[in-house]
Amino acid sequence: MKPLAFAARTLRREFRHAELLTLFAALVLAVAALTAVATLAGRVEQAILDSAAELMGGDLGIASSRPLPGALAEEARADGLATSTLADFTSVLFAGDASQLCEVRATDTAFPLRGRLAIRDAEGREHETRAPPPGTIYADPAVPRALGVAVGARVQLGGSELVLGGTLVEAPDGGDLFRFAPRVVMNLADAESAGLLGAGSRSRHRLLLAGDAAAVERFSQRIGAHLPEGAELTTVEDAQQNLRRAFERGQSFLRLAALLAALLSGIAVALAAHRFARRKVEEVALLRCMGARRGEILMALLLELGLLGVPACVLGVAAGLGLQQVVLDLAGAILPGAAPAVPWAPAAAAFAVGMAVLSGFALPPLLRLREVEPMRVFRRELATRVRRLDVLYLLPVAVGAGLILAGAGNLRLAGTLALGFAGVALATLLIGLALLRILRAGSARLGGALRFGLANLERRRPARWRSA
Amino acid sequence: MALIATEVSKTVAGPAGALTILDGVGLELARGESLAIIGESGSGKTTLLGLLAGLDRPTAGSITLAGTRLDTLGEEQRARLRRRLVGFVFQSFHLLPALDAEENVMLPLELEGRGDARERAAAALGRVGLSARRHHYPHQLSGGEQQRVALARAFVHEPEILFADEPTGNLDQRTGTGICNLLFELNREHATTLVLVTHDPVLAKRCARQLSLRAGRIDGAGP
Repeated sequence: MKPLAFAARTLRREFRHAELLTLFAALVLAVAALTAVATLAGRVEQAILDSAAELMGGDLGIASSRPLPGALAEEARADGLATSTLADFTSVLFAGDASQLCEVRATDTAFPLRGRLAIRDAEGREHETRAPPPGTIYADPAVPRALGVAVGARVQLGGSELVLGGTLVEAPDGGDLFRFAPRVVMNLADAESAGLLGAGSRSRHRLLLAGDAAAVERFSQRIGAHLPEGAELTTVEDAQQNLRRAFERGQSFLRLAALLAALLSGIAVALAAHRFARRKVEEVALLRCMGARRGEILMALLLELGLLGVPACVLGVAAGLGLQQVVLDLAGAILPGAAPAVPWAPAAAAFAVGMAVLSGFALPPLLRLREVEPMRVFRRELATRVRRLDVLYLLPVAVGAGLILAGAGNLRLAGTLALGFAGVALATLLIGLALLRILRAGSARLGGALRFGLANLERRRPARWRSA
Repeated sequence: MALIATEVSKTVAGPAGALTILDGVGLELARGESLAIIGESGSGKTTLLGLLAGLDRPTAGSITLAGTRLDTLGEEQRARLRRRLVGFVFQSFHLLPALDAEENVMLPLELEGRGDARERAAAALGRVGLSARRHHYPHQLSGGEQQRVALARAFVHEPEILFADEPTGNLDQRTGTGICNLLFELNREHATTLVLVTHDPVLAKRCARQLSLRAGRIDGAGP
């Protein structure tokens, strides 16, 4: 027998069977979820890492909770570096009785040293600019909407009256991704004269530097040794590392959510494979009777599922890639820079997880078919009973544990998750059994169809499972 | 001899202890001969058929099929022997539902690894009068047609011995007679040794010899 030809021939006819469609759909969903989440997260992370300098607004930053000495900027300029001084704080913007909490950036007019600051003026024209001149602010479009004013209106900030000179289209600080309140950019001199940066303010002061890479490196080396007290030096690499750490935490949660989808799919795969195996008992008995070897039959069955599983995983990858592209297109406006190329590793990993789910959860019932006796063609009562402590049950447990460990990234989180899943499974089982008991107690009062259905459920309790 | 069974017994574990299904059954069958095994339900007919075909091993006694002792072979070795030497016809046809008629008939040839499986299967289907239906699936065929496909499958690889279990049991009388005629015609053409289990005395009488079982023992034998 040629197992591949036999499997292809059989699948051609059996593809429409409910259990194989379930298995196919479960795999497509799992792989699509994993591909979409991992690819999207990877591309967003890469986009943000690629524009780390733009996010900083310079090549090097010195930050402190207190105003930085002017000598620092002078020293940098003496080294041929461009400088920009700024302060970030939170404040409330007023227009009449309306107010809006904002994240304010007060800067000198050199800002930004890296990246792009673009605004839309009162006529709706977009143009690139520098920090606003004294007496003017730029704000996210949400601000005039919240205050009920238009560009050109007068607003109050820290007791000063300022003109809303335009709405922000693009600013070098990471877009809307990490923001809790809309942005406002104002001139540093206005903030100082309004007393917004004085003693007791919760502002964060920064000196941004930009220039030739060697000069930046030299300055960084020299100044690193004698920074003012409480000040921190931030390079582009530091920014990238911080961003990567933040992303790893975020990705870990997303990966685990997708992993849950994969594990649920695994349960669907296991149930579908169980039904598939049960339907195949007669066929296996006949083939054994006609002289087929156990290995040949098993190979044909595995290939049949493989011929179904591989296209399902490929389709899942394609669907996942399509889905993440749609999300990226929709969310493109809040991401800095252009979207990076599609990384293929997450898609390949999702494909591998799909095949692992298929193997881990579908193999046990198929392997059990090895025990079908050829005499079963004459005696159907020779059904092989499921052994309660079948070692094959360890396979899906091992695959599930492996996936949880790979998704969690560390043993402690993986252990917590595994215990959580086991707890949910146990609780579901207990609730199911309790419901059955309650329904059974009240079954006398139920109608014919309901009573019949209940009797069926009762008959299929785990303790009475029979299988291939 | 095509088949020799000596003092064959089969005992299985039952709820009330060991249960003897066959007890000291013996028979000899020459090449090309036909034998009907008859008896009441539960007399051990099907168990004996399974043992003679090498589907199971006897608890005691020996069985020799085409010169090879079956009771000393493992399951995989017996499977290899069945593939080469044995054909089967079943009461409930046992066609694979996912394969069409031609593909079902190709199975024994493919198991032997023969390259001309499709051509020979088409010829075998022609012989049983189903050329026009060779691409029909089992559910598209009547019971009689399904059993004709099963006959084509049983004979297509020219086995030395054919085991048939109630081949007309699921058919009406007229269709059953047609199938019965076809079975014996093919048997003659291929000079196959035939072992047939049946309740039907008319069918049993068409075999050269009969063996009657009662409670696992030979109750009578003869032409």
